[in-house]
Amino acid sequence: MNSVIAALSHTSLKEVLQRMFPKVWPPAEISDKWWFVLAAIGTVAIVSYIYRENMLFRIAEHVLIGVAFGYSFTVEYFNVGQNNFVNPVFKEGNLWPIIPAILGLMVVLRIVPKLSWVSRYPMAMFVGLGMGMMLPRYLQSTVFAQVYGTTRVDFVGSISQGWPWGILATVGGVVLIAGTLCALTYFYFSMEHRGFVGGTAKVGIIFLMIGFGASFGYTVQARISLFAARVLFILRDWLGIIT
Amino acid sequence: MWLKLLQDSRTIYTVILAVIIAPFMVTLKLPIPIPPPVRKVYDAVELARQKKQPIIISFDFDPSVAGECKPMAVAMVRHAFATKTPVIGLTFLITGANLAQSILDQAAKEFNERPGGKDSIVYGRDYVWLGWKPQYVQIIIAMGHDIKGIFKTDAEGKSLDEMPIFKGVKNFDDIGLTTTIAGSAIPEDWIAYTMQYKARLAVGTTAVSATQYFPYMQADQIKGVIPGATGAAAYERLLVDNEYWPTFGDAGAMANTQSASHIVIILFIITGNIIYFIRKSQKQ
Repeated sequence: MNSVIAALSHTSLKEVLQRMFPKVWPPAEISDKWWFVLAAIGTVAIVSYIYRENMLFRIAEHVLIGVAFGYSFTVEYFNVGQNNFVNPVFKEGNLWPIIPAILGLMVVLRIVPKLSWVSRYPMAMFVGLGMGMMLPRYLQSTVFAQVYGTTRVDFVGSISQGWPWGILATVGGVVLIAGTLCALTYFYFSMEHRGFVGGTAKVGIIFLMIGFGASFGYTVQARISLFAARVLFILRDWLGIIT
Repeated sequence: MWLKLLQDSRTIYTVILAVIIAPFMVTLKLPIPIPPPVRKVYDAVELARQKKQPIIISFDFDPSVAGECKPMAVAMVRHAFATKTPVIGLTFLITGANLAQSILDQAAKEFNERPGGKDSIVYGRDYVWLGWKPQYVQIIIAMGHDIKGIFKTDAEGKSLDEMPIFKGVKNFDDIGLTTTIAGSAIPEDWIAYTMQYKARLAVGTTAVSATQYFPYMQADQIKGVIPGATGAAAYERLLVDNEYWPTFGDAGAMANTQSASHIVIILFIITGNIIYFIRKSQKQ
């Protein structure tokens, strides 16, 4: 909801129109204040959904989708299509870009039922390439580096710093390692969660709940921030009530 | 009747709206604490300044999360401009291209319009806008080898070889700090694909995603994190405290609203639980 509200900012719509119609847009008589009015109407229209679904919300929603598609298509064409294919092939006589263009067209053939099998070849290439690039790097950054980060707590160094920060850092290190092990035990399903394993898993649940609580708190903060930014726009930029 | 009214979501929305608007109207100065992850990003920019190296800011957000990400982007650009640390701007999100460019241009304009600040920030010397490029994973990997090799020109087609900002810049080794400001999972790819180059990386992110990136900081894979609008407000406070910028920005303006609305939401949660237990006891 909030993302839709924010996306209707005057900046994006104005720039989309400028990009799509650079020679005729914006008409001279449209001053900046009308962009603020348009953005404010869009914001109010989207927020009106809170009360109930209505025609104004529907119109704003469709405008947003249309604008986003138009903007993306325009930027894609000028940045990718023109720079990487049209200009090299037709202006510079470089024929190499025809190969990736053919692969791209093969992907599009997916929409033709009789020729949809053709799309499997470029897709196989993309998947293979993606996996090859991703697997080793993600293993390194999300598994090995994280395990290293969890286990390299400098207990001796922390304790030597004394009370309070040194001791607190040591306790923090113990909690980090214990929390990680307990949470991992909760997701270990090859043993019945009874006795020691069951107790450890229960402690793991507490750590997981604390983690979820922190995430929830941040989520609330995020949603409030996005909405507050739109309220700030209406009060300051549009109505001029606050400075 | 009161119970019924409290259960109507529209009542909750109305109260939240009132609590968000009210702090904008009154002068309240609630404290803005500076969390260590934000301080670390600030210090990393300062380190880049001392080393006289440019920083990269990847504006990987679009208008949908501008409320959170734009204030931190503005604060970082102001910090860099105030310390004469060159900024290389780019984006990997197509719908964020113009927004990002406007942040850089607006900040440059602000500095140049300050008394005695004419031409203090010059395009090509103090900042450059490389624009949007698709398939960002390949771009990040290629940047690890040769930044000018993959970009060649700025967003307007001007050759990077002619720009003073790129003098002595080959790859991430010559970059003081690379920051990705995003409302999506793009920072995860930045972390994964720049690890092999040992790039100094920082992340600015929406509050929703913040907890996702703290473990990377713990493991020293990134230098720091700016979490959401409160993180941006903390960064703005650092700029004000160090006299790099005279006033708080949008995040600072929203700080009171954040605090007030959080208190109300906590009260809602407590009230909801009380109602739950009352009903439970009534059923029994």
